[in-house]
Amino acid sequence: MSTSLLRAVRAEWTKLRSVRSTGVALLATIALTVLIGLLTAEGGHTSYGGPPVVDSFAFVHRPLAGDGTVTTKVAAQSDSGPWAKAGVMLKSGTGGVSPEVALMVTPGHGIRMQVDGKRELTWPDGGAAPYWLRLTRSAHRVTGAVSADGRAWRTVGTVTDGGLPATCEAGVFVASPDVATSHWAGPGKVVGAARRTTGRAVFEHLTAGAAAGVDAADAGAGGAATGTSSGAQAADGGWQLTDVAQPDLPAGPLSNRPQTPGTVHAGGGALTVTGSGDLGSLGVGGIGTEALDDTIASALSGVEIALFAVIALGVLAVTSEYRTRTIRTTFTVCPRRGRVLAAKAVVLAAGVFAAGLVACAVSFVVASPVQRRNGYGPPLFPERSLADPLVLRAVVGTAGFLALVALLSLGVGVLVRRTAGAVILLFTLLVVIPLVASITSVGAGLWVGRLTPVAGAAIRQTRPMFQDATGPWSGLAVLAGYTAATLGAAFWVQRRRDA
Amino acid sequence: MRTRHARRALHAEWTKLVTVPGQLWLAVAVAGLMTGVGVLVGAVQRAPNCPVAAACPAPDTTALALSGVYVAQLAAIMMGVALVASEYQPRVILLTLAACPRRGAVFAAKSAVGTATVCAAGAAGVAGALAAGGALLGVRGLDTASFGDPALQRAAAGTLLYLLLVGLLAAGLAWALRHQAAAAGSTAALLYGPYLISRIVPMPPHTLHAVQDLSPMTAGLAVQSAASGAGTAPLGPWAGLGVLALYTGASLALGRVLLEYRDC
Repeated sequence: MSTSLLRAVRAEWTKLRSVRSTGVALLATIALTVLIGLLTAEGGHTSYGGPPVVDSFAFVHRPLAGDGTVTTKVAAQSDSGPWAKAGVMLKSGTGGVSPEVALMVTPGHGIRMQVDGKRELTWPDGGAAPYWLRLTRSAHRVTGAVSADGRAWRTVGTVTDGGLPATCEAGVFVASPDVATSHWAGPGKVVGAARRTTGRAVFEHLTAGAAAGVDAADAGAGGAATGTSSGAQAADGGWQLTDVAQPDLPAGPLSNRPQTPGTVHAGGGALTVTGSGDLGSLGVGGIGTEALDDTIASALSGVEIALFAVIALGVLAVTSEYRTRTIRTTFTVCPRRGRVLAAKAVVLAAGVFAAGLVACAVSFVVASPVQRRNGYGPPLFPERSLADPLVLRAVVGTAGFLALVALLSLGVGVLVRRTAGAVILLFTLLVVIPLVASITSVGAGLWVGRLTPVAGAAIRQTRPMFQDATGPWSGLAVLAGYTAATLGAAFWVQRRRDA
Repeated sequence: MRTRHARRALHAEWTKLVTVPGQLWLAVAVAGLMTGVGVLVGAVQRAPNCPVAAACPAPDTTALALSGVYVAQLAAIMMGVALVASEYQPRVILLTLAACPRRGAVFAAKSAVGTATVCAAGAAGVAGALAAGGALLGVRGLDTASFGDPALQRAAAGTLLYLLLVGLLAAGLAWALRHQAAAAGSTAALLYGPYLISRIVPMPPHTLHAVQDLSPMTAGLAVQSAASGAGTAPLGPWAGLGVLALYTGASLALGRVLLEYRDC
């Protein structure tokens, strides 16, 4: 039994191998993938145009001489964005981009401790408001600690207070970065814009003073510390609101607007602070995440064009036999038609997978250095080798995607039996319908990307992006489902009709 | 003598066309896809919702209603190709040329028959898309142009001409390649290829505009845009259609020359 299958496979392999157009199509697959991948890498530049260090926020502070601590409970934080920040800070003054140590909660990215906006420590257990935060300065070191209940404290990390002067400003801060939005503006036009957001946080039990909070002055209990930043009022307890401003605003329509002024209200033993801005640097604190691109996926984007060659190969593997009537000879030699189709499928899938693997691996290797040269470097874009699991999934998965498309084409070829009809049908399904949907409506484009066979192309995604229609594996599963159904129908139809 | 030849050739081609069901179905497909996609696009459309009204220009509803052309042109391609390449699958062309030895007459007759069919089907499709798709877009709260609007009339006539030119482009390539799948595939690649590449590969604006101006599909479809230069290519509407016409002319000339000087 299995020998006859082996013979069928061998026969199909010989057919595929000895036809010149097969080699041409496989070479075209590789060449197109690599060429387009390289062109995409050449043309792509990181779109991050902000300052190297971002430092602007609403800061409620008072001087702290020598060693001491600042402690608060962030009772609530509004979710104005996943990277909105609220927490405690020791800062050398009130100017932007001056030495500082900050410990903060974020709505979407857990608890983080930053040093001068350039170094970042993360708290592995995650956590969001309400949470207790404390910074302790002692013997030229600053220790950040967090607590869920204000009693059991755990250390996030200890850093040197290198840049801080003997008397620094201690207090709480609120920042909330711009959020990228996009909307559909017409056929094929999506307009991106940055929306200014205002963060709001409620701080309770705010104390700052010499070690262990001896000089504790409960902010709310002291009475009114209410005001806006204009005038930077002094309030009871000595707390003062300052809008720390970015000193080197980059030129540009979106980023050179002044930040929204912060406000502070005291009441009921709590300080409610609002503010906008951000702190961190490229790759730290979420800065530059709007400019993130999926570099691995774009290195492999040539497969969208190489698809043409794969469709032609898959369709011709069967329709050429119908056109030349060789199919009758084939069925005479191997009367089990299901076996013939299985053999064709095995040979085709193996051939396309191998060519796809070469194409994707070469594309990645060739495109990566070009991408690095164009600004895609660490920390936002870590250097990855071909053996990296994420890269491996994209490369092997994309080769699998091409093999599945070839099998889908084979199935359609059996069903339609005419080369031109099958090619145009597949072209419509895999290229034209996604194209029309994406240029006429964002919603329709997403649904087509989710539910039609082209969803399989999602396997090359390696980082979640807002424009993704579907996840890598779910997309490939959709394509596999369509391929299985089409091949099943092909088996069934082929058995029941004349050759 | 000449006119009799031409009339006989035309009659023969007309008979072939109406007796082959596949080609009539393709004509139905051109009209149906034009209208059907227009209806679908109208049905899923939502009025743009932007935080800053000035940031998003009003959508070009005429081009939206006519976006079925991206799919319908495949049927027009298949028609142009089938008209010619069906002569070569079994070599009917030998009989055709035996019956009508003037190859120019056969070429002209086929082109005329193809033109007439694509025109009829395309006109029905464009009218259906504008009526049904436009009405749906209006229901969905978008501003649609009236039928008296010169920009809409230009887009409608231009889309019809576009379909016609694409059909003839495919026919010319089919004369040259004499193989249905090869001709259909290369026409589709010529139309969609540059457009797809320009969507994948990031390019500086002047390169992108050059690609859009030089590739037949984006240049030709600039005729649908209400505002000149705001559509698929920076070219003006008729200049864009002219670019496509150059491709079609070249393809027909190549096909004509090869038909004349090559053994069939």
